[in-house]
Amino acid sequence: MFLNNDKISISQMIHIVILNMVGVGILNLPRGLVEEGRTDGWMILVLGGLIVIGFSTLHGYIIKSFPGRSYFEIVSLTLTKPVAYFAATYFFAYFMGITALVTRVFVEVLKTYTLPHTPKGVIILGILLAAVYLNRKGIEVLGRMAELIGVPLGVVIFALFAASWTEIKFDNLLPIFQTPFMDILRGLPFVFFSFLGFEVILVFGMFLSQPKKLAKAGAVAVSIVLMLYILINISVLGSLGEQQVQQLIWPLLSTFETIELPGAFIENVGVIVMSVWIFAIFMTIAPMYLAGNHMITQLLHGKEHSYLGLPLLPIILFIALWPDSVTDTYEYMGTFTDYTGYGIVIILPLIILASIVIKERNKKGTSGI
Amino acid sequence: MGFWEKLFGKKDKTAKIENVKSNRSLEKNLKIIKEDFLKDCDDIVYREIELGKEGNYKAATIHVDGMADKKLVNEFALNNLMLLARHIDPEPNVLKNGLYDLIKKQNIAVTELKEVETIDEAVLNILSGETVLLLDNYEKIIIIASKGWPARTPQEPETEAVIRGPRDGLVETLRMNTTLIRRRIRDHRLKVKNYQVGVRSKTDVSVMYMEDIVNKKVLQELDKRLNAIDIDAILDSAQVEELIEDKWISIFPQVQNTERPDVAASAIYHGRIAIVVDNSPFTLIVPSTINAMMQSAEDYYERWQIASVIRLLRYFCLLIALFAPALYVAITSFHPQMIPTDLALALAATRRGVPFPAIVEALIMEVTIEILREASIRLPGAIGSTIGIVGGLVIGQAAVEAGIVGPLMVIVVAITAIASFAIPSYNAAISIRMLRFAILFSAAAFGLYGIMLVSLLILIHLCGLKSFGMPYLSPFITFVRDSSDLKDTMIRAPQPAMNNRDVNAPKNQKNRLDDKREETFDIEEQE
Repeated sequence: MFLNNDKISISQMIHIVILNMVGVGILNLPRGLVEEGRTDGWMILVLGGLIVIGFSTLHGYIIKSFPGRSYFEIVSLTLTKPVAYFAATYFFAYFMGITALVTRVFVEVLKTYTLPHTPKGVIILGILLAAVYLNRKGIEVLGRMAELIGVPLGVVIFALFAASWTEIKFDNLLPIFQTPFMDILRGLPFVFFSFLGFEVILVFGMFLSQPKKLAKAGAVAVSIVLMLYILINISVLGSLGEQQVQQLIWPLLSTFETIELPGAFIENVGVIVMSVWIFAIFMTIAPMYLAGNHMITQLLHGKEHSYLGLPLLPIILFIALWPDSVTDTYEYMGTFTDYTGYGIVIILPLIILASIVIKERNKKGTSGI
Repeated sequence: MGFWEKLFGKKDKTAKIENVKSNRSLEKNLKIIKEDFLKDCDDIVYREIELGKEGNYKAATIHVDGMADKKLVNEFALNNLMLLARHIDPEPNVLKNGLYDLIKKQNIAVTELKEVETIDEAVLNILSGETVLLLDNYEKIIIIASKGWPARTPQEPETEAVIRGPRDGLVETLRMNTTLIRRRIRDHRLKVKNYQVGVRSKTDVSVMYMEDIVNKKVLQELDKRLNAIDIDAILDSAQVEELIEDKWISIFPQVQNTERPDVAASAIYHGRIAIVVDNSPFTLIVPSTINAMMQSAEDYYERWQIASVIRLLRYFCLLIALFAPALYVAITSFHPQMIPTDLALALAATRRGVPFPAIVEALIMEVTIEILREASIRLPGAIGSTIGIVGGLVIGQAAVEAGIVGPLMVIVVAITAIASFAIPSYNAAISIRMLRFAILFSAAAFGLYGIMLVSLLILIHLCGLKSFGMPYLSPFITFVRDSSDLKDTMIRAPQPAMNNRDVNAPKNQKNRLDDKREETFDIEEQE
């Protein structure tokens, strides 16, 4: 009845994945969509979301085929050990980099809206230390935490959006079906990256108490996030309009700035949004950090991941302080995910899948003879 | 003394004398007790008597003065042995061979008799308040249950007072406490298991649970942890609590305590385990969750709507007690744009003469109120109220007039203090008091970000806590999967709706209530 240490349920996994995806992508999603497809951005979003659902199902299938195995073991079983070492290093680098860059974006936002004079390093250190603390406690606590704050966070976000709906002009959403199909296809990579985060399934899959149901879990998580993203896109685009969205760095936060709660004690909702958003961003940073931590533990054949959490902090801090400005950060992020994202999310899993299929066919072939 | 003995020390050999067999001779037994065990114990009363018509059978009673019920021993043991027995001519054969049995089975008119064979057991019984009867020529020692010392009668529990509900509270005597609890549970499946904890104090500890509802794993774990306690003395259940809880390093109490027998009984009915410790009016309940510290017994005795609103109010008070001063500091020093302009200006105007930053202002008032609270606990009631007036009114007023703190700060601190009193569990409330300072400092350094950061740390810590294997935050952490346990958390659902026991109970014992009412009764209906 009580879960043993280091086991998470499917429900906890879904919460982790959702909270992991919603974090940073959410901030500049409306701007990116407008840049790629103008008012037809939602079509790119839906199409991209469907593709991502497909890939998350693929990830789930891989984990399902090797219940209880770590990703390192899965790769070494399917694609030999040297490849496994390479894959684990690749994953580790990816998780470290993404944690650092996400943290950096978070700090930029925080500095702009609430703490203009506090040094960046101190802010980064604060949230990273909290992440290290969660890291030490392990996946079980992360799962509980995700399930605890998932729904309340959703309710608050929804309420804030509802407050912004009075501003929506539906003219802003028109015209639709104007973008040529090729442009929509060209916008797909951007949408794909705003969904990044579901690949933690690959690392955390080994902790599931019932891995059989995983394939559905990924799909459920991605669909929920997809719906949230559509809601965000409509709200932001509707209230700000195409031109303005293009001009702003974080159109989502600007939308919240415009909210006026009638008769409320609090005048500036932006600060409240920021506080809620700290929770959301933390739930992106912490799982990524933990995943990276698990990757390096597997790489070094360590048994206990919790000791390696703190030593990784300086690396992340260093990478996070590397970019010079917000634009730099986003540029680095783009380049970084270009080099890693495809490999992590698409290419490696597809090769693993091919290996599984070939091995099964071989098995059938030999037993048939 | 050799080097090794100096290094490793000598074992204290006087502490334990074990398994001293009793002799046939009364004199030898008495000598062992008087000289080996109870030397220089002047509160022990020895009474050597002679039985039989001719007085040729020797015997002796031993008890601790004040701990044994003298009247009971006089009337129903000594009187029978010494006076009434002489009126009848006994048969010589019986007397010769079966004096012991005769006394044990026929003479002593007391409900509870035990017999032991070692002297150290006898001594332990003497020190527990029983009367020991030694007979010459017999090895067995009779123990007459005569515990009877001045005990407090059940009074209204002071820490958990209710407007409506039972008024009896637990007392310092273990047996009385188990009785008060058992009186509410007339079920043969209620089990009471006894332990003795403390090498020297030998404190009685009773573990009470419902055999079929209790979680067996928790029970085993508790048994393990109680047996593992190796301490010289247990003076209060608080010591047991600290020695059996999962994480002693945590600031949150992981074991619930209560002074009310009805709360203990209710916990037992829900599959939890009550640990009654002798000499302590506080019973421990495991496993416990954060939910338990926000509940009061009265919630179940009032109408459910009111109880629900009050519970929500309490959770609101929890938030105020944790965050109010920190929010004040964060807003005034980092985010004045958060509040309406008029208010911000008014706030700035009140703080104009204040020479300190907001954090110092907050610290001055917070520390003052903590000192006040501590001082008023130590003082007797009459002077206590004076302290309240001097401290609260005079200092608050004077501090504002002197321009050391702003008036709004005084309001914030006062509300915070009152809110922290609204948390029903005292030990949880003092934890909150401490955490408030952590959040306050963090808010002074990082504003709202700092508040959120410390909240995150607290939340992570709480998510990792367990009380006897049960997640400390349950059922909040599983409400997406199973929301039925939420009925008794931030709200109190009506009784008919709370038909299930919580996650702690075994699966086949979930159901606790069937609502069989049929609302067809009509007093004016013709037959």
